Amino acid sequence: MANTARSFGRWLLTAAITLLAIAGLTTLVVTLAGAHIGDVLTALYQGAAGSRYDIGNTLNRTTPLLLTGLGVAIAFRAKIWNIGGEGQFLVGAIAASAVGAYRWHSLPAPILIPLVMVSGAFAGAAWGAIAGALRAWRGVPEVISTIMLNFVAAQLLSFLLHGPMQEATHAQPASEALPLNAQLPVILPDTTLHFGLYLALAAIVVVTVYLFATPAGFALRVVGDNPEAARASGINVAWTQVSAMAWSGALCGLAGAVELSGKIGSLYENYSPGYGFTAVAVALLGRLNPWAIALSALFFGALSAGSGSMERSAHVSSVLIYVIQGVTLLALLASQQIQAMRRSAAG
Amino acid sequence: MTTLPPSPSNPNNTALALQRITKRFGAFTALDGVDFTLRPGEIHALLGENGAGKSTLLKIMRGLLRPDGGEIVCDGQTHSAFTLKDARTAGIGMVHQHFMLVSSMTVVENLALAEATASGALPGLEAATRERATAIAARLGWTIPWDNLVADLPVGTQQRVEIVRTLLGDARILLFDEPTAVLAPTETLELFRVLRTLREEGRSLVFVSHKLSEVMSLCDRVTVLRRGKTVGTVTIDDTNPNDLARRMVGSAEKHDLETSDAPAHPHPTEPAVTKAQPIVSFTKVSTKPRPMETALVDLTFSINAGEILGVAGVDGNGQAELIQIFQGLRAWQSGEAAFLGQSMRQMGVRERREFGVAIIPPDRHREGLALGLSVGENLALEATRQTAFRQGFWLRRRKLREFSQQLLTDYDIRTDRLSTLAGSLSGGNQQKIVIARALCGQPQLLIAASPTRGLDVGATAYVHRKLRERAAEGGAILLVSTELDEIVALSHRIAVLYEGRIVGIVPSNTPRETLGLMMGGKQVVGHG
Repeated sequence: MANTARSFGRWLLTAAITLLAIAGLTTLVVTLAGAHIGDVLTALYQGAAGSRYDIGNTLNRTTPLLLTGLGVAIAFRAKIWNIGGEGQFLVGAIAASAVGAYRWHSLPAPILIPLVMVSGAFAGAAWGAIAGALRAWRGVPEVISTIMLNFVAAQLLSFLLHGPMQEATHAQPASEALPLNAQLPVILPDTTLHFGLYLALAAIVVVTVYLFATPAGFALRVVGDNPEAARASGINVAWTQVSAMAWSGALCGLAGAVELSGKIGSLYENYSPGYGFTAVAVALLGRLNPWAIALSALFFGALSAGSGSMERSAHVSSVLIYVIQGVTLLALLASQQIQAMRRSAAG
Repeated sequence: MTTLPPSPSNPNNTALALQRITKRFGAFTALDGVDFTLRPGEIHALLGENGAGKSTLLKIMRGLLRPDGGEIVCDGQTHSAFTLKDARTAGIGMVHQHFMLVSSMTVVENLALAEATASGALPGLEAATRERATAIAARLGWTIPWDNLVADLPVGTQQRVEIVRTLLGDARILLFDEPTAVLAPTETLELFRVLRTLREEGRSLVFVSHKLSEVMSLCDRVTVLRRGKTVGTVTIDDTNPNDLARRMVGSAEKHDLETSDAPAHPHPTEPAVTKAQPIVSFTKVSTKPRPMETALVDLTFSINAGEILGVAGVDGNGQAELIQIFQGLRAWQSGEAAFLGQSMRQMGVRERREFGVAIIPPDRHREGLALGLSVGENLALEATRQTAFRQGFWLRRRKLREFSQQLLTDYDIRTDRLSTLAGSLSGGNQQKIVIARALCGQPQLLIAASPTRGLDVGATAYVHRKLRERAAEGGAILLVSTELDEIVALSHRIAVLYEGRIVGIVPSNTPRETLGLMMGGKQVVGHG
């Protein structure tokens, strides 16, 4: 226990230093942008947690980041660099829309909503498994294949929105809106906070259990740490890599379905504001630990929720949020590098 | 430019001398008081097993590593810290085992790169470099495609580029780190021709190898390293392959403590354990020759229950390939390898485990452990595949923890808890994890590959005791090691590998001189 406590303490220290560095750099950027850091922070806070509605909004933005962050983390645990969360998110949303707004739109809610979720997860899993299979059996670097599949997914969406899935009036490239019986219920009155948050929280538990209490999750972690040792001990390395990508894609696809069914309702081009990419930062900031990922998703969610208010009342562009995100990632990568150096110095 | 003037500052006939060099990496002592003297115009072989410290010594000569103790004498000056700059001033060049070339650049660009850092003037550099390099290549009888990308060149040509590069820097002392490891036999002969040419030009060469025949045919003198210590330096005329092999793997005089407390070995002809069919039997097993590997040729042997068969030999004579057959990572071309009378060809990695084949892999970090996972998880690595430890979709975590805890106690693995990262344990304790995992299933056949590599005396004794216990309980053990002491101390019979063949299978009381001869490739009538 002492050991766990110590390593947790070390993680906390690194995280604190990293956040401090982020704060310093943010202040610098804000000052350079001609604003006052106090105003900016107040505005950020007001936007992210100033009212019940704002809190709901923050949590709503946290949900897809948490799901995609967990998804990406599963693949990363197996040392598969899934940069395709974005594409998996999109195909998940497409499948969810096809099921919920077209194919079975008249089913009753208790059946339709789970169906929408499951179809999103399955579509994402299949999309992820393509890259996993290419990597495991054909040696295609997954970084490249997943990025390419992001483009394919975006183009697929575009094609569908101009063709088979365009809404009935053909007025704009968007899909038919989900009917009420396919929408996730609101769970906090006077806000838009929807049921997806519960799904994301459940996903934390599921991922933790999968990784740490099942043989498959164990095999996944061994493959991630030392594929040679895994192979020598009889683990099917290729299959483990494919299933890691499928799980990863499933969570990203689920995020797409949740976002559609809980918040947006219909598909349009540029449907995802880069959740699949932010997920990489979320997962790394959370050091691939499911519970820490929840915190880092909340952090990113709050930033994104607060950005609008920051623009309005502190008079700085909301683009600044992306700078803050970028700064966060840089500080984070630096801190991980420092940790790795410290580890190798100790070993 | 064909003959170098004799260096004025070496009155005592020395090009480079290393005295009492010590180098430590953490707790591990790579070099322990090594002496090495290079004379002008000689090819000096540095011979030793993997991990004997050859590359480390070379890097110190090149100024790439700083010794923790000892001195380097060069051009009459004594250095305690020999830097890269000192090495360059002294005219020391190195051809690395893994070439230091930029593969996305052309040959001439690579050469100019080295020149640019030396001279600093860029204009006309490429043309000038090409002119000088062409002259050098012509002198050595080579044609090199100067404008091709390095990545497109065969390995042998890349090595030539490396050699030309060191000569561009006018190196008087050239260090070659296992230059023949990457070459085909014909390329090796060509390399030797050039090395001799370089010697005739008056340059001094250090040639690192663990191949005895190469050393014998090429070199003038040879220094043998063993576990970071100098075993001795001899003139090539005063030695022979058998003598060198013996020096490399252990001296005959050295009395091993382990041997004295060893139980009396049952004589191989004793029928006590041979009543049933052998646990494992190889009949004329051969593998497909592949570049840079040793093909196994007609291996025939069998191991009975309760028997330890030692496989001796200089490293690189087919040991790795033999182990891979058992690991299920290599197919064989002809012959038959059977485990309990069943062909191993059909058995996957996992089936082998279930049938009772366990392996202590030669490199625990590469194939044995997941260092980023905990001790408990590493101990449970294979148990998680057994039905006893899973329940449907779930791992039976408590049972696994009890299992790991039991192994921790039984095998005396020193760690305060199961959740410690395996990577933070000492080498001995890490190896205990591997051994615990291999032995816990009471395997009928245990392949122990260099089971004590890098371990201290205490841990080594522990491993030896465990192997003996397993054999006493009726397990068959194949012990593959380059430590002759270890083989002799543990084995009932010894099979000697040389260039992929079994030279002979002899009882373990065979004199070391005979074993040394066999390791040098000499056939001895065996009665195993």
